[in-house]
Amino acid sequence: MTDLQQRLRRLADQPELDAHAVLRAARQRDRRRRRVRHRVLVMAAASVLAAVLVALPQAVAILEDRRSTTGEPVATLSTDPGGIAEAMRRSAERSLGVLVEGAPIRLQLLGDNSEKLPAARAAEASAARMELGARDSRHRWRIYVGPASDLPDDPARLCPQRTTTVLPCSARDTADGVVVVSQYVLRRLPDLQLPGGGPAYSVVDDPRLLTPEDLADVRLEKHVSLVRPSGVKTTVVETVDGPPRLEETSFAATEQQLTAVAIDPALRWR
Amino acid sequence: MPDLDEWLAHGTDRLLRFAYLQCGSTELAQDVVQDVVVDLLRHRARLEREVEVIDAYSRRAVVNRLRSVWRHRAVQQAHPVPPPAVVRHDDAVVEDLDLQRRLARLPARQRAAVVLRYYEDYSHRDIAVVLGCTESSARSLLTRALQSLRATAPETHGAPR
Repeated sequence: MTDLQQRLRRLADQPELDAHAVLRAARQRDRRRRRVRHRVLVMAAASVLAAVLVALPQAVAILEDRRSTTGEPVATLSTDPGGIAEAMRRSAERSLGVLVEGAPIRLQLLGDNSEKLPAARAAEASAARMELGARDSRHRWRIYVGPASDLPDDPARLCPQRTTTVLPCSARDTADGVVVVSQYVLRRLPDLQLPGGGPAYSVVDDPRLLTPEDLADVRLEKHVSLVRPSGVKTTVVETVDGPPRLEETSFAATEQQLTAVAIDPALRWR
Repeated sequence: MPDLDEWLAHGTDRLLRFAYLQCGSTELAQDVVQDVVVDLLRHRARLEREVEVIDAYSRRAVVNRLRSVWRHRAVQQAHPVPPPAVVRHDDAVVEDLDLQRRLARLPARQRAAVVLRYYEDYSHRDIAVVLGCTESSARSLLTRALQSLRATAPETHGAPR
């Protein structure tokens, strides 16, 4: 053994160096580390599970949008516009009953930019709109099935920005999607006609300013929409031309009747 | 071949003294070896498949951790190197203190090479494994370390070449 070896061994012979204490402390740290790691893993697993539980109903809703749950055939608009018209008519008759019994029906197919399409171009249609009721009758109904704009995080944002306390609007989450119920008062623009020849209307921001005489030129509308998580919207509108008063009683259909059409699974898009 | 627990039971004390010879502080040596043991326990599954590397792995970890501590001034200040505890009162004490002072003046890798060679009895090849260099570099480190030690020594050590 060399001199240097002997000196190093003497130098290393420090009684203060306690390997047992070091091992004990290291093992305690290791146990603590494993406990923390276990907790983190459990929390991560719980977070993933929670995320799955939150996302699952939405995913199921989206998948269910793509198939009928009523047993009725769901028409594919692009290949069967007659089928979607029939589905809309049946749904309206089922929920609105006598109000639309024998009423004339008009179906309009719409393209990506909401342009009207002839039946010959049905394959290009991305939405459909049906009108029920004679054009000169006071009450008419419209049913729209097609794409919705993006679903905002806050359902309340589906209400029109111009809505005032006089024009109520509510939006609520349901199992099928967000149901939006809104009302509009429109007034005929006396000197303006639409390109098709019909009268033009504009939304009245504050109907309290209207006089009873103005009501003859007024159109009252109630919209009930279901915006599904899949981005498909079904809207049912009742239009009352020249309502005797701007009140709920002016509508022939109840909100429940309109909602029944809006949430009808047979009107799901496919 | 011993498993990790067996290695720790017998090897921790040796590792602790190996660390102490390089830093001259019992507190720092214990802190560093504790970190290394926690690291060994964390990699238990891998190390138990390769128990033959634990010696070299743990020593390399001690050398690297000490270098990291010395680089980190804040930590260095938290572990000021104290004078060695004097428990013996003979001429050897004076010699040992002198050796420790001269070891402390060596660069970290040279100091590690000296301790590995003359305390751990490692071959040049094993020193190269621990320090992550070639065998010739390990020889060179050791040669320069011994030259420095001799140059500052009051008398020659008679260390083997």
